[in-house]
Amino acid sequence: MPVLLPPSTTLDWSVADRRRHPSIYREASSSATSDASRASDRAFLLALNQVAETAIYQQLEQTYNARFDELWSLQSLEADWDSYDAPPPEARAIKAAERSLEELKRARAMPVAVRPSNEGGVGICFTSSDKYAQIEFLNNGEAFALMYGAADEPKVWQIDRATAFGGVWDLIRAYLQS
Amino acid sequence: MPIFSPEGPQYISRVHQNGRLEDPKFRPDEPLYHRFRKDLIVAGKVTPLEILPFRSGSGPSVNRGKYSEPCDVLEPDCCDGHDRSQYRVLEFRVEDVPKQIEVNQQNGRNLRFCLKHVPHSTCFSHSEIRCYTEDESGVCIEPPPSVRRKLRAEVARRASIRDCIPSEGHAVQGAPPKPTLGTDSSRWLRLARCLRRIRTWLIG
Repeated sequence: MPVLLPPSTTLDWSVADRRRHPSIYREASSSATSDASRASDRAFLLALNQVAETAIYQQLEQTYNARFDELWSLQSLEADWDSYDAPPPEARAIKAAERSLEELKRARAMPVAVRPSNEGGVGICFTSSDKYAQIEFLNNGEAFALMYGAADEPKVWQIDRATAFGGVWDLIRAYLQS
Repeated sequence: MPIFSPEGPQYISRVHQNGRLEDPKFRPDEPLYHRFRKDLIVAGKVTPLEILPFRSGSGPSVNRGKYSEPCDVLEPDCCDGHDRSQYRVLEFRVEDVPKQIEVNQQNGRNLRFCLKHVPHSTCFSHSEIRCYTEDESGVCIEPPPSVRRKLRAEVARRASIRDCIPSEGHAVQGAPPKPTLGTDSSRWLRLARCLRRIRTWLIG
């Protein structure tokens, strides 16, 4: 027979639930933690997560999702974004950077950032310990590569359209890994 | 009205020109300050993409440390009246600016760089990095793209970054943080308690 509280008192439902007899619920640990036979499931899930975290494919996907997001967000930049009258990146530079990111993804490169250029354009940045490299696509169609390190002099060269983009990445990769 | 310094005669006498004349002498260890956007840092460092722009007829702007505090470069007086509290300060020295950069290795032609004090009425310390040809003609030129990038790279690899905190009474410009419950469990407990009270009130 259930015990009912007098109707005049203010009901605190959580307390009322606990006082109810016979009790209508009890605390139960979840199946994933209570059952000893689930240990193998947990080990499997752990291993799966570890593999996923170290998988090149997943790292590539996450890296390039972030880089493409950064690239597309540059479309909203306005003139004078650097406070020194820098022009915003135009569609031409953004498109060129987009194509390059696709090629870099195929080459399994890992760019660390996509940033606007204060000359009007977009830059793709790479770092490795104390070394830095960038590929810059300007609104006027020109492209430049730059690389330097704490102990290395800066090296700049213009990327002409005839040069295969893969060759530029090969030079940068060799420098960053040296 | 200054954002990063207390307003007063000390600020005005430091930042404004107040009839002072151009000082052409720069010591090699004199600090230089240049502003850049906070959100564009890569791996904790500034990149050559966003610093030291050359604009038609003028070189990259800096504030010279002899007449300026680092954060003065973000003050509206040194930013044509704009609020630049979303920017940070890049600090480097006069000696970090290369004296000359080779245009190309084939002909061995070099371009020279030097600092020029260009005081503004509300920003006395304003200066520019100027580029000249080797022929001593004295005409300031805009260096070619490869030289511009080398200059920025030389500065970026030596420079350090400074944060500026607005003085009392100044809020940092920008969107306020979105209200979220976050992961603080006490907030969730408070919310649960609040919901329980509402339920009690509705039923009672």
